[in-house]
Amino acid sequence: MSLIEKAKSHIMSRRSFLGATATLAAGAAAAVTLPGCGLQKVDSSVAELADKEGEWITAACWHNCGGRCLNKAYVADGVVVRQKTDDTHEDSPDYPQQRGCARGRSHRKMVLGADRLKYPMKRKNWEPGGGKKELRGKDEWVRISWDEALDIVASEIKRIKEKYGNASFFLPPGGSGGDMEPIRLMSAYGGCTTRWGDVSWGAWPVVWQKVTGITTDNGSMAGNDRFRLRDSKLIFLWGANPAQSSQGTPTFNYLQAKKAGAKFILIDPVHSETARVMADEWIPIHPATDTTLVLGMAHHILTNNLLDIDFLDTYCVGFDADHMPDGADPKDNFKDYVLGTFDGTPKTPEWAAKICGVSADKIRQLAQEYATTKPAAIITGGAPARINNGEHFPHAIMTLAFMTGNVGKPGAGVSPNMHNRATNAGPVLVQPGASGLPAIPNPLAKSKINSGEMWNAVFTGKYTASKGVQKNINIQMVWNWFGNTLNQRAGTTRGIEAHRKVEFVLAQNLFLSTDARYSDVVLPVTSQWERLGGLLTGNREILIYFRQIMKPLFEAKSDMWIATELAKRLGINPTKAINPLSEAQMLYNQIAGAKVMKADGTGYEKLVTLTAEDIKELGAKGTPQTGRISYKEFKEKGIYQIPRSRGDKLEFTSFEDFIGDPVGKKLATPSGKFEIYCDSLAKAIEKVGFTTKSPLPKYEPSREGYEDGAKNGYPFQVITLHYYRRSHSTLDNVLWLREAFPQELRINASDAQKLGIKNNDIVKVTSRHGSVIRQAMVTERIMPGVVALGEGAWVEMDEQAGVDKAGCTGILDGHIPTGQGHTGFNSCNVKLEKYNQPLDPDVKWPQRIIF
Amino acid sequence: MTKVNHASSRVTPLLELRLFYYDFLRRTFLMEPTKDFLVFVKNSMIAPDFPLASESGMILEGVQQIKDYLSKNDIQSETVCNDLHWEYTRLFIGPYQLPSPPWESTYLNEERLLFQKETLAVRKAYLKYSFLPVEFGHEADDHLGLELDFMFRLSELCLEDNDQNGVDLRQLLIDQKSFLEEHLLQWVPKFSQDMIQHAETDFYQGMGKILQGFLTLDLEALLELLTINS
Ligand code: SF4
Repeated sequence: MSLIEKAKSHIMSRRSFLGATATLAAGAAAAVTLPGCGLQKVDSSVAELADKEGEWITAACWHNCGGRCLNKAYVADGVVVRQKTDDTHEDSPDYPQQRGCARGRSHRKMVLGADRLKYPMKRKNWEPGGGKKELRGKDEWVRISWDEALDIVASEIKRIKEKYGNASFFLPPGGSGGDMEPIRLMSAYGGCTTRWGDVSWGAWPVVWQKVTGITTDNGSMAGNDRFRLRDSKLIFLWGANPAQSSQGTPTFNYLQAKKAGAKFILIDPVHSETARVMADEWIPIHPATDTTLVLGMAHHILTNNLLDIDFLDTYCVGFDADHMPDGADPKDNFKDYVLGTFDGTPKTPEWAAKICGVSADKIRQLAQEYATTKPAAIITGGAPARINNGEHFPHAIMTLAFMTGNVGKPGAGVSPNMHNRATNAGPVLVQPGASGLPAIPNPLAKSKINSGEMWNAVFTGKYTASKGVQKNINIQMVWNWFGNTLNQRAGTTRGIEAHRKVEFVLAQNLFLSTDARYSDVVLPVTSQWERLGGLLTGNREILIYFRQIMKPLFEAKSDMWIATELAKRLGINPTKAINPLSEAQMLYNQIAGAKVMKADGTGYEKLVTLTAEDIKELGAKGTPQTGRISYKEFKEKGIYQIPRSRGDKLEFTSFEDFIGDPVGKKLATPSGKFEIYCDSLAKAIEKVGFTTKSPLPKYEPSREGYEDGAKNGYPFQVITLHYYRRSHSTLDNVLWLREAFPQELRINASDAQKLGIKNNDIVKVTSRHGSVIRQAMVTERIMPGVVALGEGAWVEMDEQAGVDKAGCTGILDGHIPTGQGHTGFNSCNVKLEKYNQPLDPDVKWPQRIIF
Repeated sequence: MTKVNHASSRVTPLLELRLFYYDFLRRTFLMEPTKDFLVFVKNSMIAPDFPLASESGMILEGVQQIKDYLSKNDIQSETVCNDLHWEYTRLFIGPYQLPSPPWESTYLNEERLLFQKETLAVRKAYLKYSFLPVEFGHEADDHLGLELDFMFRLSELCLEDNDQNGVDLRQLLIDQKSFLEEHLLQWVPKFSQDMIQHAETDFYQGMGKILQGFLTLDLEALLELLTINS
């Protein structure tokens, strides 16, 4: 019998079973609804679009995120259908793929977000000179044309210049990269005041440079490359959390070291994501007290005959009275400081334990292990040195490594090898050429205010130029672009007041970020996806070539276009002064000038072969050239990754040359050696004019450090984390990421219990400088007495209650200049209380959609 | 080409059974089992003989296993529901390595990746009839549940009045046959093996067998239907 007949007889018998009317199909299907997850009928235009064959294009993930990965967008007919990451080659430990993180993979949701700024707009109550300035941040917005916007900006600039002079323009650059277009324009227009002060690397840069004599690095490129790390027997990750702060390959690279046998000890107030993956031991510690732990370890090493005396004698000055630099008081040596010979306080493990919260026994064990397990590497993040007057920590921890000879040997080392350089120490192996855009010197280059004084200066009219030199300043215009300065520097509370005081505030941005929100006029700019393309660097082994993904959204324009149009209105010839090269030419210059290290490590060769046709396709002028790969390959893959293998000539350990030849390859310090006693460092800090530092590494409590809070009614310390949801403040508005990462306040379970706080309760966190509210995450994975909050949340003030609902750490951190002028985000004391108003999860908040 | 008003024609019963099967299968694979779904399965198993089961050893075995499962487990109980829910999650969703990933592209390309050229080919087939996944762009088009839903939709069209909607029955049958040959039968045999091997419940082992058994049978059915409609 055929199937047709079988079916017939089945239906017949079925009907007799169920009753004649029940047809099988209808009877079955109607009973259960099918939820919306199958196919749906679409109209023909949608069908047509979906049918278009698209193309994978390398898309910029350009953020200052600590990683750099290959991200691609599948673009069909101008529509970004989806994204993927590196699949240009097989993944392996020696030749890893450069795969993206949650942020990079949600990028489409940012660039194409409904909250993109679409049109120029002005504050409703704005008038020349201000107009209800106190309404900045609260006023309504009015959509205006580009012409009107540019006219307003140009006339305010002219008016302010005439009335107050060029120094009253304050253009605080922020973030990394960007062509500084507004500063170009203002430099051509007579100059402007800018900002200075390290934000990311804490107190490392000046200390590193003075102690080692290397002025081209801040220490972050030092240590071992990823292959040499596999030689380490013991690795201290000290306040370093690459799993969160350096996404991309670093954690994977560390895992290879672990597989090769390295033991990992993590020192961190938080049991971080990295600790979860890597830690053989987690040592929680009070923030801003790491120096005492170092000194306690030094005391044990010193008093137990664990010193590498040869190393100290050969490569260092200042360790003991017999090895002091010329002119220094022999009593002022490190050994006697640690032993307490002259100050009566031996820096014993017991002494340290009382301050840092690590037990004396544990300190002895750490010291013993560090001094006897070689090679051992100490790798720190910026965090432990990102404290007020934080110069002692880098100096002390370098000294600890010198005492055990753990420098200059494969697998040893001490450095803040962090951010996108984590696990990738050494010279850059592949790099882009220069764009060729000539710099425009700022006639007011000396008018520069430190991050810790800039908002106060708006009120006091003064800033510190150097030791004992206070200069007058009258800031009347703030111009924000590229960064999110108001949100991302300490002292945001003061910053908001300052934004409400000056006569004109201008922002150009993709979104109504904090900077933009407190402005008078906001100009919508394009993202990198809407621009011609460019090259991105990350770890030292890759170079990414991203291309345009889509047309500019709505009326968004590039920063350069804005500078050019304003130049015309300010009577400056734009093509001569501001924008002499086409976008295409600048891109070509970068590609043609890209270079790659030769396999034998002796120097660079050209990376890209460019034929006359390639150059024509790029729309640029230039001469054909031969390089390692074809232009076509570079464009299609979107990345060049240098081949590496164990034992190749590109492996790197810093100071190998100096250790090999301490005389011929001596350091560029005054003594030619590592300076444990470092007079030039003390002088440099003193010259800055905020605080002083002894030439020796010592423990000096930070302003608003651990000791200060308990006695002053702020019993908790808050630390700021790089947070999965965003890259600093960028991507904070992406709903996917908001849902996945809620911006929680981490608090230890014992503290929570004392305060009657349960998981998800709303907690008010108050420092001397401001208050935020957030939901609690009660956990054992943080030291008691410490709370942690991700940095970068976009301020959302409840003006009536005086609290920031978003949990922006800039609100809590003080506007405090110390040391080399870096920002001390991790020395900040707070008190906590349960907050009795509800707080919706961030993902439920209305998006900042204006038009 | 003949246009048959098959509402009364002799092929209708077979067309109806095909509709039933694809409905049964798409519901099984599109999403985690709900209580309603389990009741539906149970009801489908009440009749003395499951349609066309006698034509395929695989179907017969599968039906038996599911009946066994249902006789030993009360689908109204939370535990049973949860067990089946977990089984579905483990087999087809994750978080761990999926023993039987329900996407064509993971079986047909070497890297076992999603959203590959197979996905686009499947989409083209859907688009001929203006269908797209509800979650277009998020869920890969070549998910087993969607492919079965597509067969279901075309089976539905087969039963509609052709004169009115202008779709030609023969063409529908041809398109279903090619979709079956070019897509489902390319990978389901391997998929259902994996599923049968890794499923821990008789319920899902049985489903794997019914799936494999029916798709093989349906190719025969389509051939027969096409001979009649030529
Ligand atoms: S680590 Fe940085 S570059 Fe890589 S995907 Fe994430 S945000 Fe993008």
